[in-house]
Amino acid sequence: MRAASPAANLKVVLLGEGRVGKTSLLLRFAKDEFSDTQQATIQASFLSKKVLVDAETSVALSIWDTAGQERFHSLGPIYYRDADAALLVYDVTDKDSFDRVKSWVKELKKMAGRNIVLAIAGNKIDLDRQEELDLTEQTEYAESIGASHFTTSAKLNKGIDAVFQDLAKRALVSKRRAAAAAEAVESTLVPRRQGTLIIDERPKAPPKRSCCS
Amino acid sequence: MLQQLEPLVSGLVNFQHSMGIFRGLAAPSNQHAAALAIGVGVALVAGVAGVYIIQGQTPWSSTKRRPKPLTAEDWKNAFDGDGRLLNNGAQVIGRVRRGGVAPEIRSEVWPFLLGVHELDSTEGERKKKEPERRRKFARLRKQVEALSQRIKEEAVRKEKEEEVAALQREAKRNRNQAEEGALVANGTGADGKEGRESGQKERSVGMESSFESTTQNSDRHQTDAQSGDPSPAKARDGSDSASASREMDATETGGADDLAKPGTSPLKTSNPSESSKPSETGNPKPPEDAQALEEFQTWLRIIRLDAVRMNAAWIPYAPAQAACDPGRAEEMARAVGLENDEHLEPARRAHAARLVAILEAYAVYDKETGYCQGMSDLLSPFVALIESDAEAFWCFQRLMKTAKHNFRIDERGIRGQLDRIAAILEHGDPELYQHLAKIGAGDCIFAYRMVVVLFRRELSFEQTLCLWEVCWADALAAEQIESVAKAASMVGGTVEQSSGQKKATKELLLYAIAAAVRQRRRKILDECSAMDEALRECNAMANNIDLWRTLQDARALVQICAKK
Repeated sequence: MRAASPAANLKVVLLGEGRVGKTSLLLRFAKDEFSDTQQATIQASFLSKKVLVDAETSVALSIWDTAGQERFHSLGPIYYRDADAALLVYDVTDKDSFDRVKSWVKELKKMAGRNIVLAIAGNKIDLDRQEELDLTEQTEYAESIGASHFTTSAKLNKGIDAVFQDLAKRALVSKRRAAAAAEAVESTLVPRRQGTLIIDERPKAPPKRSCCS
Repeated sequence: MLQQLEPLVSGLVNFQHSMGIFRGLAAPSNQHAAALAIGVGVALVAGVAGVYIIQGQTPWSSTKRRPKPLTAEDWKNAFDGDGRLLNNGAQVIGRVRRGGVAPEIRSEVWPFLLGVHELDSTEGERKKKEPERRRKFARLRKQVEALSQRIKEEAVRKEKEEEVAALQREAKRNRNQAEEGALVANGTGADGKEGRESGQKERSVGMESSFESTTQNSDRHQTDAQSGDPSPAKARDGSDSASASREMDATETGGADDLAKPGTSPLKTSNPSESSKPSETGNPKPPEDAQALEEFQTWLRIIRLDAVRMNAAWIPYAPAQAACDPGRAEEMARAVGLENDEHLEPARRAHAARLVAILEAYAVYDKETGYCQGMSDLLSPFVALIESDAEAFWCFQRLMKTAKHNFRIDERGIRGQLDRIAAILEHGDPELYQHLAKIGAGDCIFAYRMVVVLFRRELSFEQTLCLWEVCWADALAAEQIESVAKAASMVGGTVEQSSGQKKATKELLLYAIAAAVRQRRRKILDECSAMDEALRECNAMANNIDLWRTLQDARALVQICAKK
């Protein structure tokens, strides 16, 4: 097997209510680890992993795992603003956590890039005591927003690879399409004057602070 | 000879890893070996590529051993005959600033450092105040229990409402179907279908965790109610439905008054600054109370979720609690209504139960802060060190006096702290700061977690305790100097800290964070070209920090900043 260099580096952000299992999903996916007592994430953490999207192509996923509690939400944009994909996680045994997915989708539609690819994961299917899990509402909702829907169990390692593979595949397509579209737009424009465009990238001088008040 | 050198050489290779040259050199017990080690060390450092040389580019210390902490004997000798700290605790504070507190006396020393005990109190005065603290804590727990009771009652009421709504929906459907007539013609089929559907409805109403949307239920229920169709058909449907319907009307029209039960509004009356007064009674419930109750319910839920997943780092520090027997753990867990904790071993279960009891009490005590993830991280060490819930609570409350600003919903507190770190870096290391600003990390968001949980996630348990106590002692020293200076200025004089002592600051933690970031400056300058890479670098710091070196570097930063 040859180690092909990744076709793209994609940024993925995990969002969702506290304790639905975002960190556990990611740890299972990236390291094949699971802990029953995974500590609450404060702020965010980061892991990366390479995924094969088909026999020929692999992509490198940079995955940001964010804190669930609403009070850390103002940090959200830092992680999703230039993300290629978002995985919205809820707990299948907790109805409220699905409502939070909806509010995240609303925010993403408003704030994130147009091309962001979405997937929804109903996690903790191992905990469900109902004989048949009725997730019609959830799958219909996912369909209505153009997201794929998966059920997962980080504990039993079910459905997780499929989620990330799907995200990687679709995000790659979306990224390529966006790049092609950008190229098309550029080629229709009047050619720029060559070599005269100077962009001043120096950051603005930060305001002076007094160090010791 | 060579054989003798072997362990030393490997020790020095190790230091390349941890940059632990001083530790490596201090280890050999005889001077001869130490001298040899230095010789070999120099050769090795010169021969092995760059780690030390890179380190050499920053004028900062290498690994540092812990200075001698305040010992049990020092502590015993620090009091006068009345049990009052000599010299207002100046010596004790100085020792703690340098080397922290010996583990076995932490539970005694911390209440002084945190201000639960006044520094100038006598033993008698302290003993007098203890029952009051216990009473106040017990009162907070009572308020929690009253609130929990109300939440339960609310849940029952809502469930009833939903049942009524479901029954009404069904009644309506029956009526509609009857009116349609077509179904009557095909009676068997319709009945069969109906039976299945209503069966499903009932199941979903009874099941709390069911996915049958409660909002949908109540929406439909509202539509029914709003349609203003007090259809006689509903009443005719059966006495159950009719009485349920009356009940529902009552809650809809006079619901707010109905809920205003005397003595059950502790949320409204609890006041952080005045601790807890008994609840006001007899006042009609204000509309925001329902919202407050809902908020409190959320806190209770996430407190439990976080408590059962607290790590076990504290166990070696609390042997008595670690040996908790299963029966007692079960009892404690039940007392606070823990769920999903059966997989935990007894010690962790008991710890989780204590976390819940104290965090709930705190949420009632300081309802503006309530509960936020991260607070359980801050509380866990107190629970481990202090056997009494009430005493642990009051120590935690003192810690939260400053830490709570970091949990403000508008994030003004945390942003202010991050700005301070930015300012410290800007003065202490302009090159690093300019680079951070250039890559969009000038706001120091990468240090968010370190500030919010006071370095708890980056340091080991023992290191965290040391850092905290050193920071508290520094703040106390800074306060004492301030008050002396204030007194002196009133008579036209000035006061300067004695030259032998490092400048005390209330912000030592922020300097320590800045110092820890600075220790990664080479990597940040060379490898980080975006804000998220800086954050990744900071996350990678976890379990890889030399605390005493970081504190030394932090103090150097304090000096640098003081000069500017």
